[in-house]
Amino acid sequence: MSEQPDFSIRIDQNKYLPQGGQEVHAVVTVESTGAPVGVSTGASASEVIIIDTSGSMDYPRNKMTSAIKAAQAAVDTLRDGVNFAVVSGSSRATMVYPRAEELVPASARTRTEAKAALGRLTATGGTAMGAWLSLAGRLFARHPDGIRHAILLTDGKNQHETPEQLDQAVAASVGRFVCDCRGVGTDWEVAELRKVASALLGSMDMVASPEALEADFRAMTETAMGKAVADVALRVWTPQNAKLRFVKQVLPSMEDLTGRRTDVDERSGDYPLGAWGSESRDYHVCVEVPPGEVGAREKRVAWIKLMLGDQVVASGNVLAEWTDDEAQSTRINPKVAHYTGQAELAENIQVGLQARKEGDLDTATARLGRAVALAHESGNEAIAGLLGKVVDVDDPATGRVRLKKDVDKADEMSLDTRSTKTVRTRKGEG
Amino acid sequence: MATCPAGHTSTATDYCDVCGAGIGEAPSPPPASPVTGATGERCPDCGTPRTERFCEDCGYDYAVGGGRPTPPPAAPPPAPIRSTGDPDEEDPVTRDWAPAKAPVPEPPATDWAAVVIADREYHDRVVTEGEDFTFPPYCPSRRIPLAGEQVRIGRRSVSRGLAPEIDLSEPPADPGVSHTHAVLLAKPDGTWTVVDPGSTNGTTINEGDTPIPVNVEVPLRDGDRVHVGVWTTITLRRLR
Ligand SMILES: [Zn+2]
Ligand SMILES: [Zn+2]
Repeated sequence: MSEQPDFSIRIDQNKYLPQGGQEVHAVVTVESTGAPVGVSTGASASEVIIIDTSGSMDYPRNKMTSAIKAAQAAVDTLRDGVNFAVVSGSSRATMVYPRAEELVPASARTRTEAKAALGRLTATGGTAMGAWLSLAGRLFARHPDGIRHAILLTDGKNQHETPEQLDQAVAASVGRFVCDCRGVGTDWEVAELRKVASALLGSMDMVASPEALEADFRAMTETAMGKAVADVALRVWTPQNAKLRFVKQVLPSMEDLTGRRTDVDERSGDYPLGAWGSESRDYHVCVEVPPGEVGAREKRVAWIKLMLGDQVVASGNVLAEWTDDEAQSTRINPKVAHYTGQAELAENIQVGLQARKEGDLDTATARLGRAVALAHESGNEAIAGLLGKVVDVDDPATGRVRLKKDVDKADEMSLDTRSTKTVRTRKGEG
Repeated sequence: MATCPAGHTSTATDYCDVCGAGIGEAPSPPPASPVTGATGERCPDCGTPRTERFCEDCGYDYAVGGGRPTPPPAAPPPAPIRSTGDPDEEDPVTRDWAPAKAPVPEPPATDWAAVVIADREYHDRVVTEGEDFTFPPYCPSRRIPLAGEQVRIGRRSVSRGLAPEIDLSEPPADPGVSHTHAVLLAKPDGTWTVVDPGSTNGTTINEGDTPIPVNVEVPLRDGDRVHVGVWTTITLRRLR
């Protein structure tokens, strides 16, 4: 890793608490600059492309042909020297290229061979994603350093394995590679794919039309190749008698990291963030501390460090100071307020859609209405647009809506999939 | 190693490793002899002389109590060298840098002066967006001749008997400066060094990003710039 990016941490918070106040909120912005964008970052990289070849990929036939084209485009995007493999997934996982269970360095020759092998793929059999992930894990095992990235494409539910088998395979893959997941068509399960992508620190999205796959695969591979460092972690220290209530990624998408903690010592724990390129992500941290004395000096209630292995590459303080000045303690930091709203937005969409599925139309109307109001208020136009395909909006400000009678399955899934995608605060706020 | 107001040992010198309390400015432990202050009363938690209901330093509430119990007064000094047997007293981070000493005859001014300015560039570099430290529209530069063995940079505190030679509490007061933020020390060869005894916000030199290590003397040359607080730059000048 010749050129490591410069990392910075910025903390947005209101450090003032009222007398007896115990909860401190802060938004932590982690930004990296200076990482070379695009072609070569100098970091070693491995890539595994996993294509669903279950029988359903042939209905309609253009799913299979589009998936093949997309995978070929991804192969073309690999820069020379990147170790890669292509895997086909059905009820079991099979090597497409190379034949042996290993990764090979990308070159003009291997890229051509891989694309030819992809062209010969046929669709048959079932869906067992756990087996696919396990094979990817074995492939990456011999390349533990550098960027390790997989793309998983599926069109169906995980029918040929028990949920426990999938959970086990996912758990075994955590920390071994990052996996971006894509669903094509409307027969896959949003919650299932979200679970995989979320655990493996990857993105999850729906590709409604097979034709859009190619551009998406190319973009995913380019992004993965643009990462300059692998395995970044957020280390959070909290003082004695404090409780770290949650650590959530809030930008570019909502992701609760609280359960992913690895204790470092009595008061610190690491939260894995995966690989980084030139990018910026926001995290919402909430700490509960015993109330301090009004007028006392400020305290550090969380010490946030960005770790690259054992090296601290950036750090910041979350502070607390108790005051009897209500004007100070009641102010909510605009960024904290914004992301609290975005979390509420995602939750309302997911609960609303679930209620709608279950026929609880009152709950669905109320929740999706609240979501419309939140999306409107925060300027999350993308989500507002998707909501508009599921409900008729009478008043976006108050969230007065009516459920649409006929909703395209793809629109509903697309809203569910993207419910966790967040936006920055509007200019001028925060 | 530093010690926080609650008595924890801490590797970090800004906030306590254990409880998070600020320690850069840590006050001295209860003194040997009962002294000073309007009432003579001292904070049972940190030993700062009482000025009002809340301790100026740690926020101890005299009305309702609730800190650690007041330690028994220490015995009078057994030897002239050290006032108490408390090893913490020797830790420069846990006490103010320059406890009052027997008056020494004022030595002649040296060949050096410090030029103190409100530095817009430094301010823009360290104050991040959203922080409420407005750069002062009016702040005349000051030239302070360097004299004596040490020249303290900090904020005046009547209650603590602190009157630093470079007093940054004069309006417009730099809000990021600690009571005893840094000290310039005269060297036998006629040059000066700077030491940060553990200020809250750190001291940087010559537009550097990394604060100088706490309690380490850093040599200064003619023209070197010492940055403290949120806008203060102190430039050392050799006059002859
Ligand atoms: Zn402590
Ligand atoms: Zn006190």
